[in-house]
Amino acid sequence: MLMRTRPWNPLAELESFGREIERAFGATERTGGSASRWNVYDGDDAVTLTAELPGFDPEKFEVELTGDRLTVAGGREVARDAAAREVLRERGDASFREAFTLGFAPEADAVDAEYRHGVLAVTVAKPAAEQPQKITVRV
Amino acid sequence: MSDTANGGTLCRDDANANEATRPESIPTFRPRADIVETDAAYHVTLDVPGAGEGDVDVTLDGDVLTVEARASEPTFEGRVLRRRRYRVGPYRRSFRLGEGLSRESIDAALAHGVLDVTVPKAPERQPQRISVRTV
Repeated sequence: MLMRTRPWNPLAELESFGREIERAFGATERTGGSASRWNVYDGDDAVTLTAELPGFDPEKFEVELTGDRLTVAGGREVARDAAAREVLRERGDASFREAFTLGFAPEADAVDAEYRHGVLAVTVAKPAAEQPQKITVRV
Repeated sequence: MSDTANGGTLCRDDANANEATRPESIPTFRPRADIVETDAAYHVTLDVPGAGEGDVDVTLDGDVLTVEARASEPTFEGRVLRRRRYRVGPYRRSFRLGEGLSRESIDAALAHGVLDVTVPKAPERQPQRISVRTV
């Protein structure tokens, strides 16, 4: 009997064509925990910061404002099944705490935070004084 | 150097070059994954932030599971992207799980940017309890 032996590899990944980049939490300014990456959108009326935080507990997010300093923190715990056999583990528990200096002092109720599709978006409205004011030129 | 496909020159110092039509390489991202195996199924969990309902395609071809997801870049009216520390793009990854998978009852659930795929093993692949008679 001819027996074909196969190398023991119960899990093999097929790479797709084209360039692939593996996402990872990267290093930015952080004051605690693992690093989180933030994109910043700026406008006349407000600034929005976004980060990809899949699987985080929405209840555990902390968004605080002190003067012109915005602090955002959060964490996630990945559920593990002790009775199951682990074949691949790339996702881990994570926690972060980031502080941002806004460059303006917002009003107390100026912060809004939305967590959608695993992306956290924190928007801080700029006070009226920061917004461009149209000045009529007298003739 | 000219590229007729774009209808114009692509020379860097050509003032008339149209930046908007120059082909841009959009990266594909390989989402991080956990896989656990039980007697009854494989459970594959992937991080796909930015993907929502309708953005994910899960296919099983033989013993290969493929997950593709589209992630949309958020837009905020009146605001422009000022600093970018992460890129947004489509996800794609394939896994060879094992033989004897049951296509009929695959389950895929998406919540908070995490996709959970359960691929059951065909009944004949699951360990069968055999009761031992006492004679």
